[in-house]
Amino acid sequence: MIVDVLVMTIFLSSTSALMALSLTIVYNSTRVINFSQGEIFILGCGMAYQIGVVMKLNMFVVAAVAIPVTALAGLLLERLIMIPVRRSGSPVAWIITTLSITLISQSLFALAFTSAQLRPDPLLAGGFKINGQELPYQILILLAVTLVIFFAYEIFLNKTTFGIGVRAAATDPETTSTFGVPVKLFVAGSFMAAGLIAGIGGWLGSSAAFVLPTDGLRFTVAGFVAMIVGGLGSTRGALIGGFVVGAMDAILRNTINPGIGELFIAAILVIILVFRPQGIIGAARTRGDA
Amino acid sequence: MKKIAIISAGLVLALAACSSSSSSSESAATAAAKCENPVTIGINEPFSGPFGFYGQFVANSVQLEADAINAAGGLLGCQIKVSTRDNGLDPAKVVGNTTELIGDASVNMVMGPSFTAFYDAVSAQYEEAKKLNCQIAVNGTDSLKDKAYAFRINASSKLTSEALVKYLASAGIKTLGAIYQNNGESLTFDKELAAAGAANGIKWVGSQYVDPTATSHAAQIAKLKSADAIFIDPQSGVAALTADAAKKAGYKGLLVGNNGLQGFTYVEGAGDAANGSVFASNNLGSYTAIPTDQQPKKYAEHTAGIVAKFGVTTGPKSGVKMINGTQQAADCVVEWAAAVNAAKSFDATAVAEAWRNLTLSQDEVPSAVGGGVNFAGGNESWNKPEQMFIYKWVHNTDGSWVVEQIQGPTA
Repeated sequence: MIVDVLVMTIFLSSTSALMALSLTIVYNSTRVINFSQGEIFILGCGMAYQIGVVMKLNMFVVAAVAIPVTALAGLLLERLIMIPVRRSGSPVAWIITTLSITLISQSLFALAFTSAQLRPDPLLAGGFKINGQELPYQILILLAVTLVIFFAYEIFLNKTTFGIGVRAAATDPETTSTFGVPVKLFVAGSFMAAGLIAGIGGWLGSSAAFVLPTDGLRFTVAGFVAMIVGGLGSTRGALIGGFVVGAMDAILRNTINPGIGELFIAAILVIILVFRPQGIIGAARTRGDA
Repeated sequence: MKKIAIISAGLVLALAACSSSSSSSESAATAAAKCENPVTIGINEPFSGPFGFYGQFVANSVQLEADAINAAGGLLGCQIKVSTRDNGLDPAKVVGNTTELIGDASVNMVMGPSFTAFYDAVSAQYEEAKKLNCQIAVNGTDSLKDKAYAFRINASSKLTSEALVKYLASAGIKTLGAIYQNNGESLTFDKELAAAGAANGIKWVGSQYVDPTATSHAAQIAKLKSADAIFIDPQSGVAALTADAAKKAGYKGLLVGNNGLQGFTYVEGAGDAANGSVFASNNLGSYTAIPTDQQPKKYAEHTAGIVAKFGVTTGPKSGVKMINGTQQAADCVVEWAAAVNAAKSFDATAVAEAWRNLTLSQDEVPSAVGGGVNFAGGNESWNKPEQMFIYKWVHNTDGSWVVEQIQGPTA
């Protein structure tokens, strides 16, 4: 029982945190919450399944194909979302666009992945035995990769020239562009980074659980809740929000009722929005905060 | 505040999002000149989303049989059209489509909505409107009770449980437990499996409920490890996760289930853990190694027709081939047409009366119901557990999978 809760906690926390981070990266550069982000999670998962399980190629081939393709898929999303948003000028254009992409992607994935359950092979099979139950190595790899990605992104954002440029563009894109900073390039780069992170989450995360080709929105919503709980626009908030939401969800599912997790997610979202809209660690944040 | 409102609105829309579209297809043949009104079969099933393939399979089989009738001159001289509605497994669309099809006077018979909860939600509408309907995937034992205009082509969950438990008793199983999701269907399974066990000398050791999105069902397997057999969820993805946990835990007993285990999606998900799983089902001759010429005539004919016209779908991992149709959907057309011919009318009440008195041999119905179809005044195509088939998934040494028939109908 304890091992089950632990495995599920790591799975839900890590995938929620990674999705929250990818949503945050896009949000910080565009003020768009990309509800189609979970579709790249499914793309990463589906490609790992097709290449690794169906075509029986090794994980290096999976990585060589899936990583660039998910980053490019992020770039494609930037084109599909930002062109209508910029041209329409409507404050709700992003909602319509991102949800439309979600619906189209769901249908395409249902057609493309005829297997109802996608579960790529783990990078490392087996696990530690605790009280006769197995703590899979894969779940620990997922946790480690999640922490590394957050750490690396923090360094990138705060210590590199490109990262500082991204923050400046997010704070005031008009003024930043007058200094010759390629703001649109940074936005495109944000979508690519977000796609890459969601894709890696899909690949590594789905090896620990069965994922349906149409599950993308479920992971987006989990990431969205983690982002709100942690603090909208905050990288560290995404990590903390992911782990708070994931742990609570896993504990409630395993100790009270399997169906209560989703109810909890909806409830915590409402509570946070009403009583602490800035999130757990957020103060009243300003545009561009990371 | 505005930002939060926009985000919240987005979330609400996101949660409500479910792909759908209504589509309509018609037979290439035009209505016969002597027919004053069009004769239409309406289909209310999912054509989009993860079960979108299912609606298309139903439509393919219905179209194939309708085309055969049309080519032979039609039904009472009328050409049959097929009209589809995609419900996307969205409750609102299920109800909306039902209302629309019931209100369309040109629709003579409706198929769907499949799945017990959906059908139970709209069945009263059919009765009130006196609209003939034929159900091919509604398991609820009492779902069609006292329904005058509804006919069921699949076996109820009670019948399936009885057939499976009878087989298990004959195979020496002494204790039976279950692992499935906690929903209305599982509460029914609890009662029916316990009752069937008591009637056949098998001790029911209870059920464990699981989360369909969990990472493992190891805890539930651990609690039922001493059971000789465990009944697993009818939903193939959940069943696959349980099978995976059973294999990892070294469970020595038998994993059993109903026709939810028949599709390749169970084998795809569970992998080698599916090997040896036993399930009760309708005829799956085309999945087995039984030669076509030894299979019931109409079953073989319909299967060949589907393969020729609509092809097969192959499991990418398992290589299991599934025809792009479903014989039970074809049963609805064949039986409805036989009832219309017997009644010499399309009047719903007259056709329903003829349908309740219908008898067809096993060679005359596409799904090859064991012992043939005899409604005997009722509305169930299957009414004895002895009509059912028992199958086992076998993973061959060459890596291929096959469904092995371990018990045929004894009716």
